[in-house]
Amino acid sequence: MPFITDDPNMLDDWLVVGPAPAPSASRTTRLLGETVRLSTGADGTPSCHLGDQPLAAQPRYGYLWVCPSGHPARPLFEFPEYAEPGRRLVDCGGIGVAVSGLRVIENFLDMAHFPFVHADYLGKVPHTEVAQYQVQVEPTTGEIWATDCRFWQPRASAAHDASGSEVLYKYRVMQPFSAMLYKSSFRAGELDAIGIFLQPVDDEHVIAHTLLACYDDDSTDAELIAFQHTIFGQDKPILENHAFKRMPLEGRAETPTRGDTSSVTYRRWLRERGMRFGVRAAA
Amino acid sequence: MNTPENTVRWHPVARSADLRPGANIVAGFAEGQELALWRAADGTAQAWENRCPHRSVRFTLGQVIDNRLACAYHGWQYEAGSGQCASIPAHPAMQAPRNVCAKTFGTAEAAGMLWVRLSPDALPVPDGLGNAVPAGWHFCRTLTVRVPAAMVRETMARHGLSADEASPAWRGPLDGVETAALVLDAQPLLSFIYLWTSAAPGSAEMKKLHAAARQLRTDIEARPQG
Amino acid sequence: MTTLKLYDYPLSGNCFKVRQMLAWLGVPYRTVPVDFFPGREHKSAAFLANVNPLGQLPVIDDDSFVLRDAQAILVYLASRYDTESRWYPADAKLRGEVAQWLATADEITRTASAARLHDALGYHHLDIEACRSGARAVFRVLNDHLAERAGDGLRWLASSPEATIADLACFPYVALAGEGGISLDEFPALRNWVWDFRHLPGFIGMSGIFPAGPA
Repeated sequence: MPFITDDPNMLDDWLVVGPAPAPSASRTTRLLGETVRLSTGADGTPSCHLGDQPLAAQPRYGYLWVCPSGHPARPLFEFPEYAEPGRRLVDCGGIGVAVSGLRVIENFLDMAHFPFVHADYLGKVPHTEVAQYQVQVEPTTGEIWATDCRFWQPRASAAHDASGSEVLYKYRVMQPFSAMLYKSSFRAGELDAIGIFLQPVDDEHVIAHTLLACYDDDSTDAELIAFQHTIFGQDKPILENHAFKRMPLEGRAETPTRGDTSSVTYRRWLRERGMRFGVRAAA
Repeated sequence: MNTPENTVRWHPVARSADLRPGANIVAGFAEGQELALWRAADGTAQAWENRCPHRSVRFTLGQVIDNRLACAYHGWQYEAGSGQCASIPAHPAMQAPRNVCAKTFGTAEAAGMLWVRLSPDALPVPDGLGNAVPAGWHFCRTLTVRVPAAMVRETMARHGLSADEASPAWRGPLDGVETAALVLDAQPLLSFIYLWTSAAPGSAEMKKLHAAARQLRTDIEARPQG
Repeated sequence: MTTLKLYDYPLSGNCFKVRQMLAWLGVPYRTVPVDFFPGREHKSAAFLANVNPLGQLPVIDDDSFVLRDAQAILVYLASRYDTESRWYPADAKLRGEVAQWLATADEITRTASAARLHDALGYHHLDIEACRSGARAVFRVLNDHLAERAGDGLRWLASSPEATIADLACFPYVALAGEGGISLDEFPALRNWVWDFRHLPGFIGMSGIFPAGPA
């Protein structure tokens, strides 16, 4: 039996494998414990193979998405900002992280760590308070949305200067391994979108692909990527130093607090889906 | 030193002088248990499970603030002694919940070393710990070897060191230099050997001992495993 | 007017060495961001032709004096701007020691930094096991060196009472070793040295290495 898991949350969903190769090129990558080959024909059609076996694949948002079982339980999520004119679309590359992807998504949804892990960038002591925000599961899509999130930030993006302001955030979880955040843009009245799409290498390793869809007429790609990598690189040692890499969904080993509403909802949402991949077995 | 199965072992996890009050946090290990070792500003030594109860991030990435340990992830602070959570920066006005507590282990300081036992029971500190290193001896170094502790003891016996009934130390000369060696079972394939000696720091004897220590390590690691 | 330019990438430990040296020496500079990943801009024809034919970072351009190689840049900056000669002391023996450890820094880059590039940035052509075992071998040498001198009150790689560019050159990829799957558990003296270095006044850190936190 191929693949390291039989969890339908993974096998029956669309999983990112990174950007499709250039026409007439191919490369290999790791997915659910297997090596898969990505190729793009001369006509531009991308494909993904496990050995000789073609896998169901679709190119969306600049990446190739694969459904390992060939029987997707739902279509891939919508990302309307991707097609909006005037937005910069920047693929910030796929960075390997040695932890369960569930912990990466939970970190992405969290604001309380900003003044500690991202000191002088996304937060600063003593502005540590997390004001109450709203979290709900959207009934039609089944996605999690966190709204009315706000946090004081000294320097919120490559475009902002270092004088500090309250920044508004919205978060969205589309799949167990995909999330988006929306934050106040440099362009007044707009929200920049940052998508994080995790390629599951195995239960304890992911490749984190980050895509920016933002309004910024001044920064170069190198500057935008440098900022994203600065932030992600600060999270990396935290993510890779959880005493257990897989996320516990049961038991009392980990205790949330009030500001952890997103993470409490995310863990409950995973439990209700019967999530097993990347999950720590109950003691 | 062979201890019967039902005796709780005291593990020499660090040199006392390596933990500075209100300053550093040192990663410690004992029988595969990860520890965060630190000293509160008031001087009391702490040995905690290396895991914040919030999201399980290792305490060793954090920092000591006075008599508290602060986790690197969300800045939660825990009191020395009890391990009780005292502050959650995301909610400055809220009282920290009573049930959030770091897991603490019993400690003892003797013979210049910090000792930890992994049992929750309150047990007296054996007299032998204080006798582990003769008074006035100097610290040579910590040697780490990539083998189980049993293999370390086997090789030290072969080198003419002998386990002392009254204390946990292995005693004898290494290349003619008088030594007391304390063995720590850190991880299944990692052991620490704390070497103490009558030789003075900077002396020719100490230099000889450093060379002998490296040779001992080579010999220990050369032995076939299993 | 700021005349020194630094071709830089935030996640590069070698670039961090130069950023930290410039901070300690109080030398102002302008950053030229290079899209090292995913863009591989440092291997582009323009970069090879105009900045560094070896296709590596960091590079500095100090009022048209262009220099590549992190260790060479540290020697230059300390020699030119360190009025107290503490970072690159003039004494012959100390200078020899520093050069010895600058060479060791290259071995650390070849092993520990390569392992991190493999695990974090997908450099799958590298022999990861050779990188990791090579890193453990050089870390053991560093650990022995530090452990054997601690008793004599020597805390740094060279025999100076203060940290030098020898320590700065060897520091980042030791501190980031975990990102390449290399554990520092078995190197207690090296871990103490990393802590001491992070707590030097004016330490700025980089993503992956926290500066000493606020009290």
